[in-house]
Amino acid sequence: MGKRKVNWYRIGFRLLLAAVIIAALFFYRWVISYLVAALLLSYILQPIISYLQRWRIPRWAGVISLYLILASLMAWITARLIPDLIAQANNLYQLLQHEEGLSVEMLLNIPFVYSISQYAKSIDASIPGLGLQAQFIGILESALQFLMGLPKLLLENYGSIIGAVSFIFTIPLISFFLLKDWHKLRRSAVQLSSNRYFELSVILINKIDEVVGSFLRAMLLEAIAVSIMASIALSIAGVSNPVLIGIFAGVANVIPYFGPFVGGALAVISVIFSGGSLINMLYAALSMYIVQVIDNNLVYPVVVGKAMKMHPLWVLLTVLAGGWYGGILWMFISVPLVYMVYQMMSVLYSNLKDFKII
Amino acid sequence: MIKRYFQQLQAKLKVEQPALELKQFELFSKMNEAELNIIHELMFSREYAAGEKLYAVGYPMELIFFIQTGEIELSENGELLRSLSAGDVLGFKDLDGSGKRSHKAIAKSEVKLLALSARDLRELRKNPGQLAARLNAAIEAELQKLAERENGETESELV
Repeated sequence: MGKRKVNWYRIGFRLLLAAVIIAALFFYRWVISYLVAALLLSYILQPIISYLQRWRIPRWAGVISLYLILASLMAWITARLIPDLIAQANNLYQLLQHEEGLSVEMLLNIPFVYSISQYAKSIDASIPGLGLQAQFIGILESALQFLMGLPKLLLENYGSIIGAVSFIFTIPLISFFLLKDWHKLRRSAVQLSSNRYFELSVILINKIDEVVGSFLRAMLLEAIAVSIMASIALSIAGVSNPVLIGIFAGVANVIPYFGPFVGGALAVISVIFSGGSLINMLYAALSMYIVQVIDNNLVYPVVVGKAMKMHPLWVLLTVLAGGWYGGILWMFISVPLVYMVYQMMSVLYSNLKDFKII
Repeated sequence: MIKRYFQQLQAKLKVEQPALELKQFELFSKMNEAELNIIHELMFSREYAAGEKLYAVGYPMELIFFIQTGEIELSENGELLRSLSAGDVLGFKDLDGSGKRSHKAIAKSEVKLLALSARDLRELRKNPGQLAARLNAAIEAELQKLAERENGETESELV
């Protein structure tokens, strides 16, 4: 068997191509996050645009129509909800930025906290030298220091907030072009593959569409459903700031196993801060529990389909790693991201084996 | 002179309509231009050199190939099944099967083809409206021909 001739032109071109790709990634590194976010938005909206296209509405017209509908919807929701949300956020802010400053004495005036303090005092009286009440006050002081720092943290990061606003307004623009030329871009991506990997690349692109698109749409719908249900349930339970807590609970719900507890805990803390009794706390917790029961048995199976199969330990480690890597935002997105990457890798592995490439 | 300029202008402004190339396939022959555009937008264009393998037995089945030019040879266990040429469609036989290819396909000559993903085809067939109805009717007719072909050859091959 003759030795295969080395094609130096091909090797040279591939090296050049790799260098150009690296240079392009370096040059465009600042906008990669924009592109990823626009791509995620496009995955969510793509089925609607394709559906409209089948009714002979051009893609560009479909995207503009959908944007107009979404903008109108958001304007309506904003007009209805924002005044309430601002009022609720102000309540929380006023509580944390009290004229005399939030003190341990103020907290001890809250009936529930006061009853715990008195109970600790009674135990101290029975067991001399235990100092349970002093320890309790120490915990309250630590919690206060954390809470007092929250508004400062927000104010100091106003630059990031402005950046986030520009980010939010740029994404739909990039997404418009992605959605308009969705099939062309898909075809261009597949054209990069050689004939040997042609069918494999189509399978992978389809799988990305399926996993990323349906997963993101399901998560979004579930978050909206939980936000609405939690807001209603908390309002009925008489919890203050129900819409704000409801939305937070909906967003936190994207983290399996632990997210629902975060929403529940926030509801209970809100009751404590507004001076509610133990029975009010129970109502708040019960209302969040009912929301979770409805979500787990009705919303999740219908919207998401099969459950996201991730071991709780893996979820916990992923959330912690996300937190260390990029703060609260990454705590929310790390679990869906890791799940999607895992799904893609398993599909890639099984297809590489089926096509006898590995 | 004006007529000549007008003709030149017309030639310059003439928009190519690649979707019309689908008319060569019986499956799409009764569809209108708008419907063909929707289907064509989902298709991938490919060229294979003579002797190049399209797929082998056991490979995952995802693409339906529409031969535009050239010839493709199908075989199973080393035995030649048949040859397909321009206007023929390849992949329907395994569409609702195990999800794997039941035979091997190799380009006999230089081949130009269009490929449509089975997933896209399913989506098109599920959608309400005239396009899905026409597509379903055309596919059923072609599958009927495929069943009849078991006893003899038809004008256009659908495998």
